[in-house]
Amino acid sequence: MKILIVEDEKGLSESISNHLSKDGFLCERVFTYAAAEEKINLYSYDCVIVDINLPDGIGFGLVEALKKISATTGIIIISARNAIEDKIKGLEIGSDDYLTKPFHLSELNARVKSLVRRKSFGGTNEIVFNEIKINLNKRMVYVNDAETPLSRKEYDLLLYFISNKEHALTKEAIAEHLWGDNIDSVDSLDIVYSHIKNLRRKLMEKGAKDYVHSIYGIGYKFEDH
Amino acid sequence: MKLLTKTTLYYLGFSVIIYLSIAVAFYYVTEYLVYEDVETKLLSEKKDFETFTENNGLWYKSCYFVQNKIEFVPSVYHDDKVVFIDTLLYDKNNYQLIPFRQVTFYEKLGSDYYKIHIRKSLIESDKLLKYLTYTLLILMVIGLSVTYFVQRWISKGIWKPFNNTLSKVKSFKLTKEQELELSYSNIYEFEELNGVLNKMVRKMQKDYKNLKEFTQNASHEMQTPVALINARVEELIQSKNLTDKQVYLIQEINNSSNRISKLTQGLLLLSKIENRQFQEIKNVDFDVLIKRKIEELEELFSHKQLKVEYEKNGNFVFYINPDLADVLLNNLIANAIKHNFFGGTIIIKLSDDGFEIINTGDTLSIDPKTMFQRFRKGKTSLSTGLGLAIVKQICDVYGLSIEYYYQNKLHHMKVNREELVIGL
Repeated sequence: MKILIVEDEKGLSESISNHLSKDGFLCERVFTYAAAEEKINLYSYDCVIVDINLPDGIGFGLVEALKKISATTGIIIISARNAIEDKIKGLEIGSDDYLTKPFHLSELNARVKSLVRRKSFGGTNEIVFNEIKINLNKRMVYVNDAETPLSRKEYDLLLYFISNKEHALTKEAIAEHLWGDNIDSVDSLDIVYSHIKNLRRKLMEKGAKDYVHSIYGIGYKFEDH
Repeated sequence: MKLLTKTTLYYLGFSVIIYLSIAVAFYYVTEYLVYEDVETKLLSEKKDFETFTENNGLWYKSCYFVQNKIEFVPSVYHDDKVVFIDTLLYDKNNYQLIPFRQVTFYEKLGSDYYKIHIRKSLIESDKLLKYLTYTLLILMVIGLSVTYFVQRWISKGIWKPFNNTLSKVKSFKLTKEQELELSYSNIYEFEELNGVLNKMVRKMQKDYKNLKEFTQNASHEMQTPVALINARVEELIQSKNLTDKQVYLIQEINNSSNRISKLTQGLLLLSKIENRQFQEIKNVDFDVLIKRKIEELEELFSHKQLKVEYEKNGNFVFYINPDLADVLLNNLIANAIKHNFFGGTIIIKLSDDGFEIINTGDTLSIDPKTMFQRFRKGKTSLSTGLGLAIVKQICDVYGLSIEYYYQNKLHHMKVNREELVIGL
């Protein structure tokens, strides 16, 4: 899986690259519009992450160019501009997703994976993690092939965990993923805790191993070890 | 008091005083002239009389037939004084008293002294004086009323550009980006005023725009570095074997950077609402929105074991940006959750003109008057302090009124469509 990261802020681009590489993505980084244009004309990527404000151009142009070259490439716009018009414009000209800065790397990771899944030809609509199987179309979860009913938020949480397996996740990132960023409430962090508790209980009742590890003072990690 | 009324009153007051003084002066001047004339005539008659008596030694009563014209009274006392007085005498022909001017002097006729009165009727001069005064007064009243109305009429015309300017300045709102279009006036003072106002408003608009742009730019520019901090923190927490001290430090950095990002997002949202950058507006059915919100926030309610009641007493459909309607409701309900007891209650009431969110909770630790200001928050709150400021801004921009009150140990937050005041 090849990903092109077009972001002029080198530190951020590096962080994104590090994070995604850990999950087996092959990341290439460019910092200017011109360099990005050259790259997309020469190589093909599964996913391109584009910053809208580049020093030598506006990222929208890249999105349009990409759409002409390869329709199957997934495009995610990242922008400091949270303007809804920008979001709509981005989606209209063919980007698949729009993320506003600042975002959590785990959120970007989850979005990239979901995008790649959707884009891959004859895309699998199943995610398997050891004994846990998720049917994405039916939004159903099976543990050892036994149906495991989860609430909407618990399902989202599990999917988020599996997309970010082996990554430590902060409570804030999880809360934001589940409730969006307009929950300006400290309580949401406690609710994250109770949701994780419920999810764990439901999975383990069906015989799944306990994959959710809490990291003291930071958050949680979903991993098998 | 209106300027026009005030100037008119002053004008009328002074005019009446001046006109009356003129009338009085005119009266006395005329009277003086009449007397002088009569007295000159009387003196010349006195002279005639003296010449006559000198030549004839005697005065025959019959030689002067005019009624009350001349009178002799024998007198022992005599002096050389000549005295003029006014007197009233009965006129046998007209059966009425008639004013006379009389001159009195003493004269020796033969061997005896006589007190002699020579008189002249003032009836004609009196009439003259009377009619002159009346005419003058009537003319003055007419003149005064004509000038009064003319002055009012002219003033109205003259002050029209000023009143135009005033009504335009009154209806001018800085937050709405409109031009202050003042109409041209050919009166120098008003044109100067308009010029100054135009200049001032342009400066204000420019400053306001700069301020807004600054907020927006500053928030924008902060997003990227904050994103970098967040990303680096996320990378850092991936490392294994962090010491407790390190975890503590990371936690602090993480909390702070999350706060900054929430703050900048809040400020950006505020300035965007202010700048009216949300262009899509449509009719939003608040019944649907409230039901959806209650469902969305279900976990937050049940987590705090809050009892939520929704009373639908009407249909509130309002013309607003749907995303902002969502933010509005979201912030208010989030507020009702945040400041609630464990196991408390939230009541949402919907009517035809708005909605009300009522919740249990501790008494307010801040002044309710300041609760909609930016960065105003209770002691215990860890929030950004922008939630209610955003709510207020949305209400202001779309013409909703918001009111907070505390009644029966319940906090009420009432949002209503603003009554349209016509002509405002």
